[in-house]
Amino acid sequence: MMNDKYTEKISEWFDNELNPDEVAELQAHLAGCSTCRQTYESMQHVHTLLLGAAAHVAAPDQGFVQRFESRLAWRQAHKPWHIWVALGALLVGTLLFWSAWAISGGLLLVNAGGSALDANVLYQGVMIIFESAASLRTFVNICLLLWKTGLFLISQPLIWLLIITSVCATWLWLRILQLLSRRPAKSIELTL
Amino acid sequence: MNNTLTFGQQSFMNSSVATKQTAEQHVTPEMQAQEQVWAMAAQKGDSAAFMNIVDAYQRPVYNLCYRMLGDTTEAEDAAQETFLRAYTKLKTYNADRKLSSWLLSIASHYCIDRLRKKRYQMVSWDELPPWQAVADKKPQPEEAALTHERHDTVHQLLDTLPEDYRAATVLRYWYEMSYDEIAETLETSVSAIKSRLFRARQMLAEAVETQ
Ligand SMILES: [Zn+2]
Repeated sequence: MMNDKYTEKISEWFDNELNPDEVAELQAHLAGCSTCRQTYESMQHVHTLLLGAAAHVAAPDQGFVQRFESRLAWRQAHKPWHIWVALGALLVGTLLFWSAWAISGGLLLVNAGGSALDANVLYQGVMIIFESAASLRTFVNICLLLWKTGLFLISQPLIWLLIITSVCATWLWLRILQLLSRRPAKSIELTL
Repeated sequence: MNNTLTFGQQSFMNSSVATKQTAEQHVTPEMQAQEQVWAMAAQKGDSAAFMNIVDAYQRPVYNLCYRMLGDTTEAEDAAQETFLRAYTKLKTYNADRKLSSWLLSIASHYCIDRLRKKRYQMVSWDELPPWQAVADKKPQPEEAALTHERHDTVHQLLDTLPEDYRAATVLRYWYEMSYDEIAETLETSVSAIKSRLFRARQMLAEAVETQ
């Protein structure tokens, strides 16, 4: 479909959003522009179809209000406990993952022939992350540390396994949270 | 040349008049006064008043969901969810606004979200809450009375539109809303609605041709 400045006006005309002058101008244009006339005709067809369909308003089955009442009661009885369980599990899972990550990282460093000092560096790095980021310098230091640790860790197959596992775990957590957030029970207040 | 001009204000106005029976038609001024009383009572925690609101607006809300989702079971679920959302955010309802438009706004957003999620969803193991068993897949008596081909055609057509366009189209045709009202309901600008409806018509016209 080719468009000119009148094409969109045709649609507005169907919606009664044009003033009489604009309508007259559009009609004059339609008389001379076969492209717009074609657009008009195809839109007119769609318009008629929709008007026909819009004459019918669908109604729910009998007993909609009763079904709503029982759903409301169900939601209120199943209040947000599952959200808290999920959040708790998420927290524990994250802590476990971080511990496993830090411990295995440290062990790998030591096994790879580094001294306890290397593990210490890693530990300090983690501490920096937690105390973190008041200044840009801290941020840059963290980045440098992560970069260096990252470079080393990439060479370790065990770390790859951990990365893959953690990606899968994160996906799973996100999915669980998404599912839970679909049920907006958490903000229902008991007013009965 | 002149006899090819079958378009014109005349034919257009005639078809426009035919829409007077809209989904919102039964909202009378008395009802509007009544709805404010219910809304205020419900805001104060009167759940019986809220049930009156559900009763009064089940049909426009359900119809919107049905036109958006194209399926009676999903429409029932979406309409119920709309009222649940309304119930939870009742405190945010502002009496300056028509209750019907507030409810339709919640319903539109819910259906748009739902359609978007559906597009990205692979498994539906969360889609079977206990109450869903209650709603049967049987067609509405009213729907059954419709000529099936025509009805299906329109739903198939609507199905080809992106969610936002579909919402604008449904609000325009079934609820006879102006651009301003649609923009308010969908929380967007009038110019966005203008171009959505224009694009929707173009897409529908193309879809009709390929049908
Ligand atoms: Zn033209």
